[in-house]
Amino acid sequence: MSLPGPELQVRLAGLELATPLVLLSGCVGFGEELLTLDGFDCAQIGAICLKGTTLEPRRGNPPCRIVETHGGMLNAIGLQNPGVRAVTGVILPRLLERLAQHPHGRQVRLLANVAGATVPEYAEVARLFDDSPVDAIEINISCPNVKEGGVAFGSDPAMAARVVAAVRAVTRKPVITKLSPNVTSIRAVARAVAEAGTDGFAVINTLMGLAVDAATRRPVLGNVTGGLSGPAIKPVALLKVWEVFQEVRDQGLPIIGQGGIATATDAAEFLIAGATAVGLGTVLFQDALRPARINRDLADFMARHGIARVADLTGTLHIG
Amino acid sequence: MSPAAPNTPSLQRETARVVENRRLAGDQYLMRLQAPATAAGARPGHFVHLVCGEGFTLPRPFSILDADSPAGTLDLLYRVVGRGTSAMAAWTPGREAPLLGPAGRPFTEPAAGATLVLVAGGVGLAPLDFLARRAQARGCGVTLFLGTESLPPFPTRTTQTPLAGVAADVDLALTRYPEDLAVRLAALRPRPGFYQGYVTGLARAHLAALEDRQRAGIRLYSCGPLPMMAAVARLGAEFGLWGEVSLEAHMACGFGGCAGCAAPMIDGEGPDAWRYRRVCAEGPVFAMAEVAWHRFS
Repeated sequence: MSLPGPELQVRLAGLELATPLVLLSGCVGFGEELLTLDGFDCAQIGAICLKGTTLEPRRGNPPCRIVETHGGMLNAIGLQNPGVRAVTGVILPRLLERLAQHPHGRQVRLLANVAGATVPEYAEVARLFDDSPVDAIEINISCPNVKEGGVAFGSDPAMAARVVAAVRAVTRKPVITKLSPNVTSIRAVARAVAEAGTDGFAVINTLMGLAVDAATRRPVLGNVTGGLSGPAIKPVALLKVWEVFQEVRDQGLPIIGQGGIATATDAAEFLIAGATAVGLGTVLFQDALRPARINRDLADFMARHGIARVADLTGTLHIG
Repeated sequence: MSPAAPNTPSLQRETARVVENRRLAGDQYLMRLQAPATAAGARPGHFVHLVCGEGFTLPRPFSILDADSPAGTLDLLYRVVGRGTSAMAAWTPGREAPLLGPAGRPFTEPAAGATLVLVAGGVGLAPLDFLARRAQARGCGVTLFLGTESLPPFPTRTTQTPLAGVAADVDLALTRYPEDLAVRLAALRPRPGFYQGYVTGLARAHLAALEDRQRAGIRLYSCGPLPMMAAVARLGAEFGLWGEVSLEAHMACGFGGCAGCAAPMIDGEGPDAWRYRRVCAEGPVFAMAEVAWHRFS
């Protein structure tokens, strides 16, 4: 099936994506579950970012792990995952088989999401994914919900660069670095990881937050703090995409813009701010079939504005 | 997040339409939805993940009370506890609400002719009610104990049919069920016709009064507050009975994507052999013996 109207295909760090929509890490497991949903159409999505994966299995954080907030939600899952060997050895082969049986499933690009507590752990997980069928590696240096690693790496440009360089050294697959908004200067981190060899960026991960139960005077989340996502963070995410875009535009490094996107208009705003593709996360919890509607409405938007290709929107914010 | 394959083969997303929404008793409501795709596959223990309207980031999960496939309808029994259910209580017929369902792993279907003892707490009655009526239609014997601190959701009647281990003055049943589906009620404060105490005390008195051969084939099922289900699991262990519980959890995606609804499950031998599993995908129904009750925080 070809999508009508304007061209929705995008090129991201050497990958051809059928549409600019990327399903975000932590929101769709390892992709298998969505394929059981009647009506889910692989033709609507460009890529799936797999659940954050560490070297060894991780239990994750104690419940409660999620709470709804005004215009969004907090989560503190804590990188629950079965470890990279179970992912590459058991889950990925099964996922590929299922995608192959699904119409247009083969065109969905897969991004591993790599996490670790140490630089060598990041590198080892990336190395094991390098020898797997994933199309690219997303480095998660921005998870706010784990005690070691995660945002501890992402908040220091030098540390972030070390992680990226270590991953870069063990893979020939495209490397996307997922940046945290919980930093003083996202431009400084972007600059450092660009120099370390990243092929692109995911902007942004969640914003750190706290929910309090006034009746018990206790934190709602088992992990105490969590990551805020959903429409509430969209203006912050747009700003961070625009800042990173200004930093890396001359190098031509692409950005997957993400943070509260729920509609085609939201998606267009991120593209205009500098994104090459856009990520969907929290919106999928309300409507896992939303990608089809966003693509349809985005194509309408482009047709109305005489835009032939998604890439023609990227970085077109007029200032002054 | 486990290497086990997902087990929800026909999850539907459809826009349901409210057919009926009425207050039953106290803060308990019954909503009938026209949702034919979900109703067609619904089995006892399945849930729906219901979008409560604009302004809600997350849908809310509800166990299915009943499904009528020919009519294309689903019934939900819910209690108003927060913003989402407060909004739902005001819904009128004709309102549309998207939902995901039938979600999760349902109860293991009991063998025809089996004997079921069901222990429910509050609106935890919903999936057990569905199970009770389906099982009885298949020739199973069913005894249902309901603990409720508010008024029972359905009208009551007195029953003269004796039940092992239960005093004759604990004689209130629910008109929703036929006489041969034994029902008894429990509450902590004194109420005429109720067992006074925890519903698990009532269930234990019944199980203890049975002869070994009567008890041997019993299947235990439970849904309600966590401490109640943990106590039912202890009953199962005490009497050597197989059983299942339907757990509740805060949920985001409802389809196994986010791991937000984790519950601790035993995974091997030893005190540290446990892991979190997803209530929405690997549950909400779990074997009682599988749940790591001591690991709930």
